[in-house]
Amino acid sequence: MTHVNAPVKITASGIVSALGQGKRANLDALLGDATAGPDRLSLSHFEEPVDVPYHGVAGAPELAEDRLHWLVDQAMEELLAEHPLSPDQRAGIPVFIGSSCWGIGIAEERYREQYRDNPETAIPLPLDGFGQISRHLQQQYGFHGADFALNTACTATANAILNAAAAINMGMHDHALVVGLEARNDTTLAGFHGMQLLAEDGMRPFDRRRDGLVLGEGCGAILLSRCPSDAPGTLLWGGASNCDTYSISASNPDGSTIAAVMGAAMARSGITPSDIQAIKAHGTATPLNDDGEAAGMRRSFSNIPPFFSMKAALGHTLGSCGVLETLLMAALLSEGQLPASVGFEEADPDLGVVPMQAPLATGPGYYLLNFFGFGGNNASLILRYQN
Amino acid sequence: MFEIISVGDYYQTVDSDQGLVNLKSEVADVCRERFRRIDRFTQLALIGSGRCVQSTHGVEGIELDSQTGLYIGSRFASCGNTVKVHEQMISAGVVPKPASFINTLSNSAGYFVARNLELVGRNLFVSRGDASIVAALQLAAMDIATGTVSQALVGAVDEAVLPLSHHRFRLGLKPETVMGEGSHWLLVAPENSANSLATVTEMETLRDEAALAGWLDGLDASREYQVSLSPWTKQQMASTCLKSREMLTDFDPGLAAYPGYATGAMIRYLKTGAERPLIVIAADIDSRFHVVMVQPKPRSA
Repeated sequence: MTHVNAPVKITASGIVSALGQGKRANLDALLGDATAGPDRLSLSHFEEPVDVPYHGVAGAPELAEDRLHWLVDQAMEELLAEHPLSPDQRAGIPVFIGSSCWGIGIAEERYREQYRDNPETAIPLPLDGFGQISRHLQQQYGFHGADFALNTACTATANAILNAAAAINMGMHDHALVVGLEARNDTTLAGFHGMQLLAEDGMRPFDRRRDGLVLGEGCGAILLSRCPSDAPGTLLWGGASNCDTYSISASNPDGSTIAAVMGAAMARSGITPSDIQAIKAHGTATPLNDDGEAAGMRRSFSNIPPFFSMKAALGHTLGSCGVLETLLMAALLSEGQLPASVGFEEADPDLGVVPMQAPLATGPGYYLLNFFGFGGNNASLILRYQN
Repeated sequence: MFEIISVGDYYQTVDSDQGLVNLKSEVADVCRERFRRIDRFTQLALIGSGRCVQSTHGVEGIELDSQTGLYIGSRFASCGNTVKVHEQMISAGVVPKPASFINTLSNSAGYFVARNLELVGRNLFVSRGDASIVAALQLAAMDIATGTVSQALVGAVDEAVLPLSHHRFRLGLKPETVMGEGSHWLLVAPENSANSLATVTEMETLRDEAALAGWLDGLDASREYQVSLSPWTKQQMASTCLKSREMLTDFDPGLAAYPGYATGAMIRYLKTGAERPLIVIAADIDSRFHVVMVQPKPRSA
């Protein structure tokens, strides 16, 4: 079997996260002896105390609009330093953006100010939040091409990557830009707090004591490019996404739809389960996610490859995790090493799977990345590293 | 590019004195099960998508495969629900209730549509202002072209939110503009598929009005075209861009102002039986213009 569409290369990337600014700082933190735990964030605008753990980005401006622009700028400046693009190139490249927050923090801030000044005339949601990231990319960097503000919860940028590759495969573009952003905002933090999904003492993906997630902040950008299939580096080899209508807030715990999306991604990539060297799990440390993902891996693999989650270090960056974790995976493969699964200490016999407890030396081959989200959205990507 | 093989929708002009029409019976007409705690945005999505699929019933050769891709475009998604969440959060300091919070996620509606129509494949939500349908159609075109999906159900869903004065401000519309809401859906299939109602022949994103004028200059001047612009797009465009071109005539679909206008216009145009190409132009908040050209199939074909 051959892959359905031509692979595309991860030509350049940029990141800012709770682990630091730039890929080097993020890799050093992931591959180091210990990553910092989450900070505490007190949301002052609620009638009940809302004090949440949070992996926020240090040094970011406080005002929401400035913060959004700053986060995007950190990622874009690293990407453009790695692979400069001419004004003409920028003007035509399609831009695929994924986020869960968009401009919601800006809308909160403006409504709060208006409400404080005059509650009678204040207008909730006074701006088009979906357009804020694209507008900054147009005004600051000249990316005026077709933009796609994708929102499929935590698979938003995984889906963005799939469509960016499709845009290149259609033959109309040599490059496509993918940007993922998650910026601090009250709606998301209070929403997850209200759903009682937050872990007070840090995330423990696939651990027996896992009890929820910690949200994270960050921005990532990837430039995908047309390339020959034997190009050196990390290539997006294929992928798939599907919709699980079992529940709006969790995949089927029997793992069937997760196995289906992993299977479809491998089939579209022309590979079999035995070709997978390692898996970057979605690994949110919520009981339901890890149950479903473990069940999916057991269904798909007779011998489950080494797997790990990054989220205990980065926080769960929601709609942007697809691009953040994919670009970090690509960078880790270039380093020849994957980190141990952060936050894991004690195996859960009910899961029947155990993540990596030590770093793994890597080489050329295929790697599977999982992303799952509210709304039943599942996505799997296949990267191939070759030198 | 691809064929439109079925259409279906819901539309209402909003009378601020009467309020918004209750949608429960329309939802029940198209749903296999009774969904609880769904918001108006999801109700609209269920009605429009359900009607589009219902209109395929009895048409030989059209079958809604479970792997049909689902693509929803909207400017604000679940606007009414998000407004309520923000009002409660900011005016009363109330933490969002779980169901309300989940409904602020734009893809909740896609989940319920997929569940109702038993779809298990690609399921995407995308926004690009009043041109969100163009973005959704472009995504569907990519997935069809790369063989990811064999057909796609593509919808533009935009709800009205009271008070209308606030919603006009949100949408950048002039005071007193008549407002509407709608859920307009197209079932699309690869080029040359059977049962085509029309072919989508072009989709373009143009940087500014000068680029739009250049694109219009590239049209075959010996042909005649009809053009549809939403009230908001008309606000963004200089009057000379279209009026100086004699081969273009205006198509008025009789719709009020709302972001889903472009798709409502497409569907209404196809129902007129007209054979000239329709050019739908939608402006965005960054001075760009997004264009879709639809060539209806001759009725005798």
